[in-house]
Amino acid sequence: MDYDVLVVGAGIGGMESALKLGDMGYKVLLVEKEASVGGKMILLSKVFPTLDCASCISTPKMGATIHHPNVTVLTYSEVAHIRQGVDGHFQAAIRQKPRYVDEARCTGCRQCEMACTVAVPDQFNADMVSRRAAYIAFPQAVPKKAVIERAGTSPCTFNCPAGIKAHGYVSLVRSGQHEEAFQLILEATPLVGSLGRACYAPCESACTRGSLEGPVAIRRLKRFVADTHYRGHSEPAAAAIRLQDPDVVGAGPADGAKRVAIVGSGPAGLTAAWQLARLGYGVTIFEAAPEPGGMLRLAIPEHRLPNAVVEQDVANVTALGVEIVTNTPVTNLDGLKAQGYDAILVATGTHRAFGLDVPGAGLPGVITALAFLRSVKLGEMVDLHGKRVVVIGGGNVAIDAARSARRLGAAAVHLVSLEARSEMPAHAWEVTEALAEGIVLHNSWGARQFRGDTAVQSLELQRCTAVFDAERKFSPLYDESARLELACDTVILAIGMSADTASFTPTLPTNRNGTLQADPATLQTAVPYIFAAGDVGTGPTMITSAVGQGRRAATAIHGWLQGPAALACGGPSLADSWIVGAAETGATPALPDAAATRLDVRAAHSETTSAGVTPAPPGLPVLPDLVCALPDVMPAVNGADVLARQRCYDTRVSLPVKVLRSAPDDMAEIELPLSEDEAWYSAGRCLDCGVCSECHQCLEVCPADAIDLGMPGREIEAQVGAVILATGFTLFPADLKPQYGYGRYKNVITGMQMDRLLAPTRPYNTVLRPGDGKVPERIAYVMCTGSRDKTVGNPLCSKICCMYSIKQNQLIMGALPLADVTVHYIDMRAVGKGYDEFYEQARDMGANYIKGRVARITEKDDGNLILHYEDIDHGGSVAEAEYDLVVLAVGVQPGLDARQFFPDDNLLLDEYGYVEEADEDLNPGRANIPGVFIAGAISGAKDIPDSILHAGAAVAQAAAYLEKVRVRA
Amino acid sequence: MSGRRLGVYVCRCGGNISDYVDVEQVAAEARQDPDVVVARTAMFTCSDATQQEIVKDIEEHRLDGLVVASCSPKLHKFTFREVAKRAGLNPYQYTQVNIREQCSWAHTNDKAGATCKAGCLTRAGIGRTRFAAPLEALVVQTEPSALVIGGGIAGLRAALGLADLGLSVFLVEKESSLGGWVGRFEAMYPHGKKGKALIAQLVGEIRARSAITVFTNTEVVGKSGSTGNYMATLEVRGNAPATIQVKVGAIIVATGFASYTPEIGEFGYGLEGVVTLPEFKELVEGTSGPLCYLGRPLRTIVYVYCVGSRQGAGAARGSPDCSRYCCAAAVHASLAVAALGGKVHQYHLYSDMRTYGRYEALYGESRDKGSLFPKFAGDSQPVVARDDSSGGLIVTVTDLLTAGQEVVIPADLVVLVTGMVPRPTEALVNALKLPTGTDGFFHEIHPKLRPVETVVDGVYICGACQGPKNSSESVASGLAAVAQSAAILKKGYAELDPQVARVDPDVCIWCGKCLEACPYRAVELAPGMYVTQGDERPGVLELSHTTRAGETPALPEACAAVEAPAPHAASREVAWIDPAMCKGCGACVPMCPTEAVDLLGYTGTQVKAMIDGLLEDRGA
Repeated sequence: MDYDVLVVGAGIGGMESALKLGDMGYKVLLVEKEASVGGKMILLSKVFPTLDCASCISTPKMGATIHHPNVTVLTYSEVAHIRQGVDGHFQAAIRQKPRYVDEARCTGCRQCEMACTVAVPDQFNADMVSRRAAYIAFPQAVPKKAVIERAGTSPCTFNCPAGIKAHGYVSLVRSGQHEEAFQLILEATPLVGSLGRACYAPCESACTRGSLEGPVAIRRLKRFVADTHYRGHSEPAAAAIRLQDPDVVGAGPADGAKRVAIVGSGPAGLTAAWQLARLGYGVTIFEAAPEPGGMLRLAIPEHRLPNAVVEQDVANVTALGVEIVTNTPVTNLDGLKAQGYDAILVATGTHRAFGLDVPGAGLPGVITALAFLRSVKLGEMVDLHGKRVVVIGGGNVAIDAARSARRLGAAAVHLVSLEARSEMPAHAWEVTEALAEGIVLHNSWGARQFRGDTAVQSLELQRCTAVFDAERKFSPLYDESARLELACDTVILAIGMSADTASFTPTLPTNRNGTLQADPATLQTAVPYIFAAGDVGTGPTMITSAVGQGRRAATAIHGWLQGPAALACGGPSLADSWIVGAAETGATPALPDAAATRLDVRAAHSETTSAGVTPAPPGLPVLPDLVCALPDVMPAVNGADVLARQRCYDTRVSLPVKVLRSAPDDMAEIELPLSEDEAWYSAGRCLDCGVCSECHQCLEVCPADAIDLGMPGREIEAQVGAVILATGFTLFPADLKPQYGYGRYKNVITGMQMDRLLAPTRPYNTVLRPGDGKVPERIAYVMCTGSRDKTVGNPLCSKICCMYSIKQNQLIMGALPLADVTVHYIDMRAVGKGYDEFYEQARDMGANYIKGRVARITEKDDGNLILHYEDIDHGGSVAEAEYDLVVLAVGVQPGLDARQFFPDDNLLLDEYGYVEEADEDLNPGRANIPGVFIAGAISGAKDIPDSILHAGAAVAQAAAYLEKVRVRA
Repeated sequence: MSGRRLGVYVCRCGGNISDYVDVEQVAAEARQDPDVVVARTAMFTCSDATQQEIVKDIEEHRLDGLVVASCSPKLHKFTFREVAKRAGLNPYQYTQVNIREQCSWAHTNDKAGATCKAGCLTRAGIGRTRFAAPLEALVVQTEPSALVIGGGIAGLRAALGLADLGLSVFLVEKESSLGGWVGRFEAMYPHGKKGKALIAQLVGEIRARSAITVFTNTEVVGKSGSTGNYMATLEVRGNAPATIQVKVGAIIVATGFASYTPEIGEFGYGLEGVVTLPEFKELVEGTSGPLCYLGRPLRTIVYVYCVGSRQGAGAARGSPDCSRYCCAAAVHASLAVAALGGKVHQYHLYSDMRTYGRYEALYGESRDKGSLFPKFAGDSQPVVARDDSSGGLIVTVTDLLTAGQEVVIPADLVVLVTGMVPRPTEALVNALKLPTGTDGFFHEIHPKLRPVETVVDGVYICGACQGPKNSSESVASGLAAVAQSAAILKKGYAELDPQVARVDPDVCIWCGKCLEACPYRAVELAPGMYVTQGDERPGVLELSHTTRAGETPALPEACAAVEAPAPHAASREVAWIDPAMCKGCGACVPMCPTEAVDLLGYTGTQVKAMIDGLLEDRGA
């Protein structure tokens, strides 16, 4: 037996049960789903009828519970199920939710809370104020350990193929921490400015706000962040980049550090270089073109992505000591190995353009878009003045080519697309902008032949009737009778591209489309030291996908060179880089164990091992021999769940993309940046889907190094002798009485909210009405809200509301001596020792009690409230009265459905949903299942003294049950 | 400067203190004391986080004294003793200073004054702690048995509960049979279970337990000893009168309530046809067909609620409080009447219908069955009178629910819904030194923190002797008392506060002044001169259950077992104070002409240091 008794729920009933059993010498396991013990009592101001401060009498119980030698407390944990075993024992399965903060290390200093950039309603203060996603529930929390609330991965972050913490930088911008936002993106990639302009932003497509009035402008926020950083750091240098380990990285690779060669300086190569350099490797990039940047520098036109921005991004990489050798195509990978590189990454992209197999395609004047765009971007003389240009293709590259041609002075630019307008692969907004610039679009036409003598003079088109076959495969059909001829001087082909890997064969096997074969998880090729990342392995994709591949390749190379254990202790950034693109692959790739993969620990170690001891790799920290345990990415939060968290939303207009209408020959960037105000406003629309935004500020500030965003949950099995359920009650949701306006009228609050306003740890330090912060002068109570009310399905009396209202009446009159307090009631149920005197005391203090129900409440323009009520004391007339603040004395309802704990047994509930006491008269606190007992309000409405006595009854019987079982055994 | 290393913690109590006391100033003043190594303020000193901080300070700064200036020691004395223990500091080298109840709450209009007083009290606490010596808790072995007083449903269930946990029980009932009130009832709310059957079931189970010894016709007349080791004296009356002494570890009092008896004339009480609720229940339960009274069928019954209850503080008769059970009981009785058949009109005259919790369902059912509920205002009570013309009763009430009309109801029977009042138990109160509240019911230490404990250690209360409760609530509290008793008795030992008075035999001249002053009979002559009290009463039968074989309780470390006085070398007669009996009240100390008595924890040196602290002029 692990424990004698399992107590579920650490409210006052559960704590009392655990303490008494512990005092008797029984071993108790106490499981609480919240982060602190204390239940509802710790939320209260003072308690009736003695007016003790609830904190003052709760905290000793809380402290005693957690320190009791016979009581083991699991907070932030839920009981999954309890099954009966042999001999009357129980087997309990408990799931400890990850706090994402190491309890052993956390000192409760609240630094993480103060640094956190996400605010959510504070349930401790009845949602009247906000708390952070990283928080300590309340000042007296036991244990006083922080928790980071994570509902899952925010859809924007989840859908980023590069694994960029989109939610994180949005929340940082919202907090005005622009530089921190830049640094957060740098964790993933150095290409902040480029992605801020040229990324197709799958994050925005996934944004939950999109289903309200439009997605958050996440990409433009990234550009804003980049622009802001680069404006302040005109000389990109290592000093401007906060490095993970300045000792290692700031000085460039250490002597003897392992070296990695990267072939290709596109998004994948640059990102991999950046990540590897940060890990301390010596990295050299070999680039065939005269400038680094790959497609960013060679294909994406200036009006979308200026060269200067690419250069700034590339400078981030070279600032780490990465050497970029341009004009150097690599054809002999073995040769690189021979030069002393320990690993090689091929990231050469897809620079081979498709041609057209139609007559005349070889005529001068027919060029490929890649060649055309490259010439323009490299500043070579391309003069299209007065020329008639036809671009063939329906994708984004075609649009880029067409708009570039327009800017180079072409007299006319026609775009010919095989697809219908709705089928065009180009983004709709790109097409729209192209049309606005005067480009003529010809949809559903295919090239039949080029005509011309010495150069192309015209293009004959035929009608395309279908682009795809039934299986959505590219298989165009033509109606040859429908023809169209376009006169032209230049034809630009933008019909696709592929990887040019001929020079790598036969060293590396390729696929039929020319891409390199590599393990999709580790990106390792058939040659162990060669990895392939980006479009050269995947075929043409988006920039962010290539960035993600670069990240993963760097991690895999690191793991291969150092052993997978290195990944486990590489910090959150390294862990994240393994799980990038989870949305694309559908799951986190498991890092296979060493024996099953050629990413082989032993292979890597065999080169450096002597006498069985692995020496520290030069330039890298000593890595403990850990089993690799990279975390799974949390599943994406469901947008519908996010929207359901809140009852209503302010509509906040989304800012449209503003485009500079440039002169046709102006190559300048056309999209206008967000102003600081616009950025702040846009970021403010974020719904914080995942709650924690993964902005990593807590990681930065935690002095105890206690934050672990990859913390897994724990599954715990325990054998126990008996069970006491003490899961308490819930309060009636007041908005289910719409005639009282809760949720719509700001100055209608619940009894719990008033208790918070009165508590020593109160949110405003006085009693204010929430609508406008005014000190209320006339306060009304509406009793029996949600109780004694068949219309809401609860005919029962809630027992506590009369007394807590009377208590609040007295406290209000103490706090606000000038305030009038009026209570509209049916029967005042001051039932208990000293309770009637307490009621009389409130009357004597001046509280006014009016018998009769309140029919409805209406709100005035100034936020005051009109109560329409029956005044029984005065003949039962219907009357109206105006108040500043109305408190709804909400009643209690059954808490969670306790039947869920017992999948194999039929735990009986009464007709109202409370757990039934099998023999209330002689055995109060006993449920129908032998060995299962209930304490407190789980069995029906109870005040604190009744709950404590009830817990005592459950304890006496649980102990008796244990003794009986012990004797039998 | 004494070379001590003291830590001082001044609490804000969330604002409870810091709104009226400048806690930073109090801490700053404390820091001026050369022995104070650490002085801090905290939002909630009792919070786990601050407790940990204190532990850390004690360990890091090697503190040998702890002063906490926060609330009443009644609340947190044990909390901070535990903190000291966890840090390896002797828990008696800690002093609690009460700057909440005594400063911030008492002087809400005078922040400067409250702050000044808090500073003085804190200095006094520092003074006491400066001379605090380590003490060890006194440990007494406990009897694994309990005495339950009262054979009603709470006492019976408690006795069974104790026996279930392996403890021996003496159950004492004043009457000739067990069962109390519930033993007389038939159907009870809310489920209609029969009280008689419940009692029969419990009594049957008790008879089957060898661990339970039942005394009927018996009263408890005396008690000696202390918690864990009481000797109770029982007087058995009837055919074979006897005096019996029982050794028990704990005493559970479950003596129940008395039903309020109206005065003649109170709501017509004394008139034919005016009955109390218990009388009415008997009538209903004894009837099988349509209800009759004195042979006449009843057509109209009027219930008058709150008779003897809610009489306001200081009322001469009845209870100031709501009796809690009667609304539901009367409504339930009216349902029983309806179930008997016949056309009976039932009027319930009430001021607040208090069918709390799930009992609300009974109220609804009663309305559904035709009962009418006119409501009267508290200051306009119904009048019950004989109608001379008809010979019947008429009840006049001003009904708020029909616009304040005066309603006259001719009634065949008027039921006075009488509440619970304390049972006269003066003898028991004297025997046990039990405290009662202003309402006359037995008084618990704290309704939430210690709901079944009394100021007399080891004496617990449960059921309706503590205040109005219905049957199942009484049973729950009876079982809570079982849990509380077992928490001490199952361990096999009890720890007692070592802050007791001690006699210096070299100085004592045995004048007997301390003996006179002691309210707890803790002072005795030292051995040699000792005369056993028990021998003076021949013929007393002594019963005790010895500790079960093989169960020698393991005593905790660092505790001092209570020992009998060591033989004293001097041939003089000197006083000896039994540490298990002494409560540390200090009444003997000032009486001693030779200053031979000192109170550990409050020695003369310490008290003088406290006075110095209070009088110290800070020059502010």
